Amino acid sequence: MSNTMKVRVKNKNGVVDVKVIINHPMENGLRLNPQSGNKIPAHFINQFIILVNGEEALVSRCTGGLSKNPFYGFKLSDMKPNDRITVNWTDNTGQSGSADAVVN
Amino acid sequence: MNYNRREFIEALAIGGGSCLVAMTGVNMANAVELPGSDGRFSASNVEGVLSEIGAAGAKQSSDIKIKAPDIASNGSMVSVAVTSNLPDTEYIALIADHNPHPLIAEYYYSKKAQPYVSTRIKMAKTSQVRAIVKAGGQFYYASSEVKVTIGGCGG
Repeated sequence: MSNTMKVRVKNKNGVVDVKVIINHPMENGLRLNPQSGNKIPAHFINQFIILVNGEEALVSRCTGGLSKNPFYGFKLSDMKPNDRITVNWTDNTGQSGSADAVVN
Repeated sequence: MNYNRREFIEALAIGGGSCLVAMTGVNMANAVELPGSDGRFSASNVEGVLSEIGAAGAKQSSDIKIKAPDIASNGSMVSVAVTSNLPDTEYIALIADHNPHPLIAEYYYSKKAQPYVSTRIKMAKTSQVRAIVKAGGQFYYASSEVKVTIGGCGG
């Protein structure tokens, strides 16, 4: 599985738009394999965290109800240039990913 | 964030130093509080989700804005954005009423994060998309109907 994720940050007068796209199948465990008729096992991101300079700014718990390759858009306030934004995720199989971005 | 006894002992075992760091971490004003998930994600109807969250008595509020399409041609990817203008919003949950598991995602906000989320969800069929907001200890909701022409939950 590809662990790639993209993080984009845009600073507008101290309010930072954070946009994240993660390559992930987000299988909810309810879909059937069209060939075999068996259920495709659940495989989805269940935790998503945004840290600002190492402090939790936002925590999300999610399910396979989010679309494949999920998109997350958030806004952070009182941000300064060079603040470090870290995005961490883990899925229900224990896989995880992380990416950093620095505020411009 | 709460430590139960076992996690606390494990944290102690890992090292007093890191435990101390963790404890100061959770005491910061900005820290996000994350309760146990209980059965909220496995609930199969909206009433079940609301009672698991503790939002059974949520009041409708026009201060919650949901941006969602009226008609989605593909239920596997429906763009939804929620903005809460209620003061002290600390929590937003996204619910699609007629999905097999209606609760899609929940977001816990610190003061640093604005009460806003934009994401893409799957919808099995035409239904209300609901945003549950917790602000100042009270629950509120808003909803918006999305007509789905092709479902996206499979099965």
